[in-house]
Amino acid sequence: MVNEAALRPVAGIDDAFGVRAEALRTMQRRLAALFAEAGYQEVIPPVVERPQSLACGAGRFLTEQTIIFSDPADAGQLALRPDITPQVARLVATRLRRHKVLRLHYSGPVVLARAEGGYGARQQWQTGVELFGIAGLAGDIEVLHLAGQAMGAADFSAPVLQLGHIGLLRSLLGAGCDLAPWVALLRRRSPEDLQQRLQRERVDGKVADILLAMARGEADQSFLQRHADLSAEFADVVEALCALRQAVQSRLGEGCRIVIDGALTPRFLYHSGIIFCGYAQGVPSPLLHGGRYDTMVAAHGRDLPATGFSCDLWQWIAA
Amino acid sequence: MAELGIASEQPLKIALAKGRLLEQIIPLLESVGMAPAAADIQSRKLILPGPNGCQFLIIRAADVCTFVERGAADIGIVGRDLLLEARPNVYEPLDLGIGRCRLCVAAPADRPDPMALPAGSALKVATKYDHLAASFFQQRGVQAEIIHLYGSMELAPLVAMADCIVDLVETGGTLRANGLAEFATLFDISSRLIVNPASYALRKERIQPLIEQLRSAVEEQT
Repeated sequence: MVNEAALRPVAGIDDAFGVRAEALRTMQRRLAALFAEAGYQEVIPPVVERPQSLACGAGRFLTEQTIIFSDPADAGQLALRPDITPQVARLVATRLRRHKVLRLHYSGPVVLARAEGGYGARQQWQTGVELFGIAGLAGDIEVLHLAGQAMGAADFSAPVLQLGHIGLLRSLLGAGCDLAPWVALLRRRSPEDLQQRLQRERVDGKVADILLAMARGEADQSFLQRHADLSAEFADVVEALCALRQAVQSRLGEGCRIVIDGALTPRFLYHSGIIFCGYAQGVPSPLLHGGRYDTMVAAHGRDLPATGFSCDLWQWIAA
Repeated sequence: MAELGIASEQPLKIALAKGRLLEQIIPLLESVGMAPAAADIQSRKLILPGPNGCQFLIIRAADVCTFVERGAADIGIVGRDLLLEARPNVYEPLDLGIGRCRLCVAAPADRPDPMALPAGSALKVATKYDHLAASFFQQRGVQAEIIHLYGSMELAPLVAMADCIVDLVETGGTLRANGLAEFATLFDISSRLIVNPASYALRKERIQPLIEQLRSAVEEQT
């Protein structure tokens, strides 16, 4: 007797077989070969973790997306990972502690408690790299270059890497400012809504002008360079962004365009430096997200600079 | 890998809401030389050709966000009410200042103010803005039962299906004609230009000048 209820698909969770399974494995092998060639070692963390481990550091932004269940073997709780980055940070802070510099790549399924944007998929095949122990421009160049190469390896058409820096906003608004509401406003790029907040918060003068220009889409490389005299901190960030863009663009050549966009906002507020995302023709949403998150590994017990990027291979093979 | 610049050669797709709002949008688009031909607007075609190789998709207002968020259209024009309700992942670079109205709580004028109910009161609210209405009352500590309707909200309190409604009000004429009064305003609403972030990243050279032209046209009108 067939149990019909047992055969019902789980919302947002799907099987893959035939051409789709084959396409995912082909893409996975292609990226793994690229990352290995760049000197990155594979790590395979488990699909379940202790909830506390997943909820610290970068993981605290995904606690509402984490499925937690009872563990009959341990009388405690276990969590299904919604993100692999916190697991890699845990590894680096514990079992890989003796290494000063770590280049790691990973690829595996993650499950979200709720589909992003309603009734879509709750499963992603998260694939990415993390570079630990190399601060500043050298690490940023390496990872951004690898992100461009990854989109090239996947044969995406006319790829573009959008490049920003959380330090722009921080230097404009001051180190003590809660960036969350400003990031939420800039994410929608509505000058009218931003203007209301600027008036409410009594932000005016050149800072207000630059923030409004960011929302209007004017904050490209030349705009930022023209306004770099705002403050020493702002000038340093602009200089770092321009140097990074130039270095990676010359490495990638014309196969991938890199554009500086001062209004680019991070997906989560754990980034401490550059932020970037990748787009390609015919794909209506970002193909990858990345950036520097120097303060996040400390939450796992080891203070180490970190940068990386990740993507969802289900999206990549569907694009 | 394909050559750069291919993205710029695709037609720019602009999603417009059919109906009353379209009548206000067309003059604005005409002022920047981007409107579809008048004969095409009168036709029943859903895809209309436009100048400079652009295409207009004529769709329901409620679907504009979806078409732009999913990249079926690069750009769209949609009411702020729908943006606030659906929270799509799109840019909102310009408020066009047309389709002005407000999202209000309204109830029968001869009944108690739904905003001044005793603590712990329950309220039945008819609306098509489920999230905005639920969030509005939740923030005020009122347990609201949301009744989703697709239209004729004003009828719900008149037949005792709901205590109040959350709906768009332009002049207030329909409310008054049905014995309802406004008790609170949630948001001021107008229409906004929206852009798919990927389209913006890939086709900024094409999209940004259009935004600036429209910005100038809007500033001239105000």
